Amino acid sequence: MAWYSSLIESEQVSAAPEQAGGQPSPPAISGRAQALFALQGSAGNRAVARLMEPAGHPESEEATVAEPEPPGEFNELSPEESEPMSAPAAEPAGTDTAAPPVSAPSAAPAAPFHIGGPTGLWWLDGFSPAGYKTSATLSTNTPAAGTFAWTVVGPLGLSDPAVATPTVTTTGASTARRDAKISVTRTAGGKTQKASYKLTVLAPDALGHLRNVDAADGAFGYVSHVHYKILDQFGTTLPSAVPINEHFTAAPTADAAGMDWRRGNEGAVLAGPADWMDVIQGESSTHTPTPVGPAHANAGDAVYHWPGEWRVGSLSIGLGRRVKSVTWQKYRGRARHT
Amino acid sequence: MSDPPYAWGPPASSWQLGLRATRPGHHVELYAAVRRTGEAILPAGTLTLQTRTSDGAITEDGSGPRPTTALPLAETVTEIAGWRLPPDDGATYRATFIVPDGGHALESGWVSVAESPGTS
Repeated sequence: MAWYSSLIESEQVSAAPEQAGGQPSPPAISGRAQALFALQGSAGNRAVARLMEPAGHPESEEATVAEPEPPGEFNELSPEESEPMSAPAAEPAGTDTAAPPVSAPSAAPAAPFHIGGPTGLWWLDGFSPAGYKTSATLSTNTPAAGTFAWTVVGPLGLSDPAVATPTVTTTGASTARRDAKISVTRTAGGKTQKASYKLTVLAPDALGHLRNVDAADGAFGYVSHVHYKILDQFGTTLPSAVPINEHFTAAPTADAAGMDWRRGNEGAVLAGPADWMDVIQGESSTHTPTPVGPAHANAGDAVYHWPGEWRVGSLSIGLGRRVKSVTWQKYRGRARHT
Repeated sequence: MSDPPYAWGPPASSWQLGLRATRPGHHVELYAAVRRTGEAILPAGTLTLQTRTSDGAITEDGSGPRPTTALPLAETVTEIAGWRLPPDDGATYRATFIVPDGGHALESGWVSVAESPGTS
């Protein structure tokens, strides 16, 4: 615990809560002797920054943020990475501790050079469904005059590294949180400014099985509902509705003699990621073997099966990011993904 | 801007259901969309694809992925489902969307690959 004595307000750089369409979380406070974090607000959403200087008093932790911010408006940088109108300096090793330069208390407030860009983006194998931002325009808090040199590290691409406001687009998914980095060097009037920040490229990655629900059906003997949630690569449920499709990758294989059950069409739907289901029906009673209800003694007799996969990002069959490979297994009285 | 090339059914409550058909290769692809005229929350419902063959027989397919919860939809027109079928000359298709509580019973217009403005 520590006492943080000094407090300022600012509308500048940030210790950004990471987000890519989800909710922000407060940044962690490092053990540095002097740490500062702030949130940079979007238009009409003033941010508060707090300068913390541990002074040995354990009672207080003023490490609170003003309020959650909308997605895509934060960035972060370290003091070495933000050098207003400074001479060119070597880029430091990346740090997770955000700490913009600290001005002398009596100096007039000057906004440090920083990047305006998203703190998180998405990768859905090239698709951009509504609610999932896969590209964004970058900017700085300076005039467009001068020369700009943008660089990216990680699964990102730039439209043009030499313009004031390039577009950054995802090219893949992060393998670790904040493993992508955007940097810019601006040179104007013989002086150089540098800034950079880290971000995460989230991606649909897996289906989390929730439950199976079986019921009798008058036309097809039974109907089974296989429920799932859709998770990103870090195990978090996706934030909003997203297209998902099923793709069958081979013909069915019979498990029962004389089997003549039909297979339904491949389908796709706009799904709520916290809970959606695959609806699997049995077959009409004129087929072999005869379907039964889920409570029947022979409900577990295998009929046929086929392989396939689930993809997220598109309603077009077989397109989007693969999140699960399954085998559809139909029994006389229920169906499952195995 | 003109509406996408969907065959829209009659409005019910705050929604209309549309269907378009394409044939990009060896399959027929169908896409269903809703157009909202009021509230922006689409309730969960039962989505079915009906196929009417050239001899007049109608079959229903209610299988496949389905939402289980209501969905907030920001856009006026949102594509909500798709199917891929083997080609069937002379067949026409219609989507239906029925909310279990009976509050909505949406039907699209019938479409065929040959007649669809979205044919490719």
